[in-house]
Amino acid sequence: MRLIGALIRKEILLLTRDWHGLALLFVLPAVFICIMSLAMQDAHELGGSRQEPVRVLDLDDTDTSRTFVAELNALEAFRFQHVDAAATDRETLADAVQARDVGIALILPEGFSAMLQGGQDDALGLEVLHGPGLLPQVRELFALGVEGALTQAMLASALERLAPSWQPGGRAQQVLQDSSLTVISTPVYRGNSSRHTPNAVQQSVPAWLVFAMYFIVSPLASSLIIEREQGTLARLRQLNVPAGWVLGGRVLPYYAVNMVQLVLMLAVGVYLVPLLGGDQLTLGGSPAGLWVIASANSLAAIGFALLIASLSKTLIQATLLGGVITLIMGALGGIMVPKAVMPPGMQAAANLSPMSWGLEGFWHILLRLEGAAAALPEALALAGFGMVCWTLAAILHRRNL
Amino acid sequence: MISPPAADRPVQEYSVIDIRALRKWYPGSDAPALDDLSLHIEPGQVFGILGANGAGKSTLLQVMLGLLAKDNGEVIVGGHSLDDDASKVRALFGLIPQAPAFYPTLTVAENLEFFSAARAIHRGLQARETRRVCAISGLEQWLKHRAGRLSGGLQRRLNLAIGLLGKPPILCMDEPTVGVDPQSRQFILDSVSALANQGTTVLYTSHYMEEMQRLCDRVAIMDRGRILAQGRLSDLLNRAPVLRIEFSGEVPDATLDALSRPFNGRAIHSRLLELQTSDPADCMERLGGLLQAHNITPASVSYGGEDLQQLFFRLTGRALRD
Repeated sequence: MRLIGALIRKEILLLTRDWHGLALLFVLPAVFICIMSLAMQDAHELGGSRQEPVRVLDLDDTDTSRTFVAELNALEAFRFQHVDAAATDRETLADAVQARDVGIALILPEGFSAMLQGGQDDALGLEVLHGPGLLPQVRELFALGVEGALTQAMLASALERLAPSWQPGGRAQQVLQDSSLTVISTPVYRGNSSRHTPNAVQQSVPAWLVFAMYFIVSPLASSLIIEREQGTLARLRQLNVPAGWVLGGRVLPYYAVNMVQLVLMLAVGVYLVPLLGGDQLTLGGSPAGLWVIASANSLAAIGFALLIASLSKTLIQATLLGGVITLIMGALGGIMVPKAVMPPGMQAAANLSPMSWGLEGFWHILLRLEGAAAALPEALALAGFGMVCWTLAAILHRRNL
Repeated sequence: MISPPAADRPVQEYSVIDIRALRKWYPGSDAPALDDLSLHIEPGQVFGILGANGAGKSTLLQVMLGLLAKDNGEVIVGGHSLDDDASKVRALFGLIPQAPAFYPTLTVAENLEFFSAARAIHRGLQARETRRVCAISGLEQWLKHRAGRLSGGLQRRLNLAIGLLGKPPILCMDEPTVGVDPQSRQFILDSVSALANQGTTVLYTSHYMEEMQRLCDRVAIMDRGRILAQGRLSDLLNRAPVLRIEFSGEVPDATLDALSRPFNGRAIHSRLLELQTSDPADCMERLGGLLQAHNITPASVSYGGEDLQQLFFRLTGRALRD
């Protein structure tokens, strides 16, 4: 009992005297959370503060084309600039798009009104220019907006032909607008409270917390490899300290580190990110659930770190091997790129990453506002992964002695 | 239990360390690291193992402590067989490895406290034990200093202090003075002598001849995993004078045979010939003709007994080691 106490105390002393290691474990993930929560804020709010600039060249310049452009102005995600047809041509607009002065350019050809009245929408020949860097979803959103505005303009034109008394902005158009169907999109949560709307911080905190817990790979593997290289491990073995205790003495200190990370990263989401102008993290209603999934993730991370330490012969090997595998698990597991935007094949592959299990577990508690029981499958999978890593690490550790 | 030898018992029976036909191959190597090696070390002795780098000294210590697996042979320490009871064998030793083996970011006191717990020293005795080993190692005023910030000499002394914790009956010191300043080296050698005087058995490896001559009761000269000679230093050095002829280049075996046969001599290796004679002048005169006939010129000629360095080179040769 005294020996295990001494091993734990020794590891805590080594950890607390390694300021660089502590900065890596606590400061870096906090910075990640702040940056990603603020950077991804608009990605979670369609039509947020960012508006894509669109330049419109109206070569038709009729009432119908102007009505069409007025319809486009209603699209909140875009900021329209009308350019003078006398001073601008297609090439000038293409140059502006190429130079990234503007994201999108829309050209309404001469005869737009006549073609619109002919009802041949696929032959309208509206031209949209966009740069190669424009996100596909923005391009798609713009295309949908243009199609909607075209439909409105075609209906208005048809009404005008059917009812000669129709005036733009008059009663007929009012009828059109009033009859428009609205789609109401509502996220579904347990409790159904609007406070729990998913936002960037709600996604970022669990993702980077799961990732940060694996940061222990570096200090844990280093301490074991330095012991081996300096002969301290041989000395401990000569003193009949069991090999399992040498590994086991590291578990509790690093579990404590992971739990401090949990509290700290949640605090960053709740207090720091809002101070910086981001959304506030809401914690859900299951502290036990948070503890269960965080503990399971910690066991997996410690097991993985011990395995890396036992696999590596040198510090450089451990740093590279641990760093690269952690990055791959993070990239695959939806930490850097949300799983939702991955194609089906990649989503299936993502489920192989323990970080994906950890993230899903945290989302049960933080996003879906469920209890500990909901996170149990992921917690058990993580604990299983951790145990497999521990077993392999113990076998390799004995072989390395 | 380790007990002093009875005068009428053969050496093997009362050896505190008895190593028989030990063999160790490292995977992939083309020669054994330990080759049919046998040693007998008596209680209370300072036993020196002298060998060049790569001779197998550290491997021998690690195999003896059960830190490396052996391929063949037997190790019995204090009556316990390594094969049957490795933990009891290890418990008899205090290990002082070649490189400082402790935690640089812990203080001297914290290191001693940790290794005391690892040595299973009772908590109530720990403070007294820390004072004892610090007094032996001269570390009393450095207890609160971080180990990694100590000078090289002090780090060696901390390495020694950790090995002394728990008063192990056998100290295993693996080249403890390599890279140490003269003052610290002197201090360590004095400490070893003092410990030996108190009855501690010391197994001391080194490639420094003067340390061996100063410290050791018995010496084993080791090369390429084999013990070439072992015994009391005085016995090893107390040989009849010989005429030693050293050549600058390698001489064929047949030529060496032709040169040594008339003088009851022997080739120690391809560059060194030893001839038994009580009349070196007459011997040289007769040898001169033979050397001329084989068109060989000696690089050096000497006559007399040997010091440890001469004995070492005579047994191991002067060729550089890999």
